[in-house]
Amino acid sequence: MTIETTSDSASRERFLAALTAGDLAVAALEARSSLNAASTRQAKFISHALRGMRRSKERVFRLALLSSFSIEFSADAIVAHAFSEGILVDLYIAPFDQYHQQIVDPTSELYRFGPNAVVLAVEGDRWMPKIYHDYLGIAPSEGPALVAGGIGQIAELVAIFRQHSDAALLVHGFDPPHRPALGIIDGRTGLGQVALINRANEQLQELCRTSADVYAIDYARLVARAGVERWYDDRLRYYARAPIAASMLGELAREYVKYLRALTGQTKKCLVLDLDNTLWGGILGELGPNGVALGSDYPGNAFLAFQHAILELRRRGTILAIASKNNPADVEELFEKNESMVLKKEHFSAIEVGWADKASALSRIAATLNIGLEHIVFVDDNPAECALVEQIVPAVRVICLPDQPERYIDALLRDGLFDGLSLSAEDLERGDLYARRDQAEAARRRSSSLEDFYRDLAMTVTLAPVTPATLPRAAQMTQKTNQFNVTTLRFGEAQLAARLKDANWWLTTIDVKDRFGNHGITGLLMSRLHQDHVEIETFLLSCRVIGRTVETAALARLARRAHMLGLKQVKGRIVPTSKNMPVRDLYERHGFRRDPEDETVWWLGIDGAVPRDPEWLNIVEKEAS
Amino acid sequence: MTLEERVRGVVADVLDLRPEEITAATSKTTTEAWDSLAQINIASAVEEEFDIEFTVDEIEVMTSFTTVVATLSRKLQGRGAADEGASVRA
Repeated sequence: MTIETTSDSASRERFLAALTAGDLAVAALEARSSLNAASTRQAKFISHALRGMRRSKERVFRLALLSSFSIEFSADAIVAHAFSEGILVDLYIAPFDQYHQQIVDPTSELYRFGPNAVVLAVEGDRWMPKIYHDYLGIAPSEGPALVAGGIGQIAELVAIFRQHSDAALLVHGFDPPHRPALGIIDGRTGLGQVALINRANEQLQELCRTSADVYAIDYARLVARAGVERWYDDRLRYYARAPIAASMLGELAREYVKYLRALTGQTKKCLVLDLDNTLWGGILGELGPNGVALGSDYPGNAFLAFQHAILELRRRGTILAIASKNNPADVEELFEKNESMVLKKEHFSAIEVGWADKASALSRIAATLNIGLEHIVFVDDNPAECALVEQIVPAVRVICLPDQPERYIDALLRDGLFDGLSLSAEDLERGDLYARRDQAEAARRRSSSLEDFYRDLAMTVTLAPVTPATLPRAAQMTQKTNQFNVTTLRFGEAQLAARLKDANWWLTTIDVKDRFGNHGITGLLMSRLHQDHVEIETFLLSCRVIGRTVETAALARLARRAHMLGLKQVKGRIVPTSKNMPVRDLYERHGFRRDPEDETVWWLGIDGAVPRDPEWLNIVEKEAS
Repeated sequence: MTLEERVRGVVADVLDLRPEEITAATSKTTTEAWDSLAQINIASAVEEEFDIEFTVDEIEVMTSFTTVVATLSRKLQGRGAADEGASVRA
């Protein structure tokens, strides 16, 4: 008899205690470890406990469910699974089958609820009933038109929805009929029933691609992953209009949570991996670089498949790093000698190999890459290491791998931790950018002097006026840059656009290239003309290009330009923050003098000489076009 | 833990009550939280706990703690007999 689903009362007490103490991170961790997808009972317990909790409005995510079936059975699972990811959800569930009225009526409860996101969970036979239930009653030529008609209805609802709400909209796709009317010859005589629904799914994807903040949930794949016979419960479909089996509601909730995580900016950015028994089988220190299990036979082939899955994550923008207890020389040797490795050394943007504890290794990786611990996922096969990391750095998401390597991929990808809502050109290159910086760091260590290092990098620095095309990037940098940032003033695009029209503002982007590649726009200088001086208001550089004398080039060119206009001085200001240590001595290093009355202000006289360009930089100045 | 205690824990979780609040008198008519939705949720949670599947007819009569326990006991006895039959045939 199974008693696994019987709740663990100690875990429940820890959960309730953390909740009472207001420690939501710990409560979420407890919830996550006690909640497997199939446990409806535990989900109810968690959801009920949260109901009694006081919550501040701004921290709550408002989710509305519109459905053609009794989706209220999934409510507790959604609330519990979202909470286990640190997201507090307030649910609005429209009465069964009211989705059309709720969307069309501008005064409906849906809009009064003020949702952040809306799920439209309508089964395919509502949009295209004849294809599902009357397929042999329609002429073969009618099929495509019926598909188009169904998608047309959705498109209309989406358009009306957008007039009344700017919430994200998640639309269920369609699950093809499980027992096609023509049985094994479905599709043999033309477009089959299944093919028509597949076409409908493609058209829904197309509709969502071209509508802002509308996403298609791949419902057919969700069902397929569990299996049709497990996913549905026909007893309750007909008895309670609840077609989805109770044990599958957790899976449905987890699929929604992937979107909620992305919509709340919690998509993970960096994957930190253990090595032994994670990327390969066995212990490197005992088996040697070619003795570890990695290759065409079990278990090596399972580890190989895991590496392929990780490489695909990197290609879509996830940063990879290593935290391993090993001899650094052994790991170096393996990267050089083991030709089965899919993941190469250059795929990793930070490598912490040694004997220090993994919690501090993770903190160092976060600092090196300049990303928050809450954006890191740590993967290890050793439960003790996992427990240590969870305890010391609870912000890090820990995946403790199952015993069998063939189950690693599922453990890594199941929750969609790295799923964002879009993919930008920068995402596709990010892994490379960080890796390049790592290569440059290595070059610095190899170079005998700093100047050799700078020369060796063969850098080109391009200074260009901000244009409407580069303005979004400029605004984004003011919002994201914390370390090399003199005043840490944040700006929106609209604010910068106003400055573009004002001739007294000089807005300059800084683009850096080196022999390892193009870093793109990685700096911004905004200064304002006064009667006899120019005042630097904003000066920032991305951490990728700090320590390369780029700032000297930018200051030199600014001073020269001011000098040519007959101005006498350059004024700068440093507003100290907890993070901008790298700029504290910026003006002092470049010959500025502190203002006798205001110690945050610095002055540089440019009557006579102006600062010189660093000789190792190729500096390009672009004119406004 | 007896069968009745396990059912009590399950019903308590679904109705958001403490196990000691669930008595022989707990039913759809005496307990506000025990609505039609809860009835199905109770059936599903009991199915999950005991790894069985009720028919719709069985779910329909599960309107009180006592009937839940009785229906479940009958079901488990039936399954025990079926299992024995299977092993005899094997």
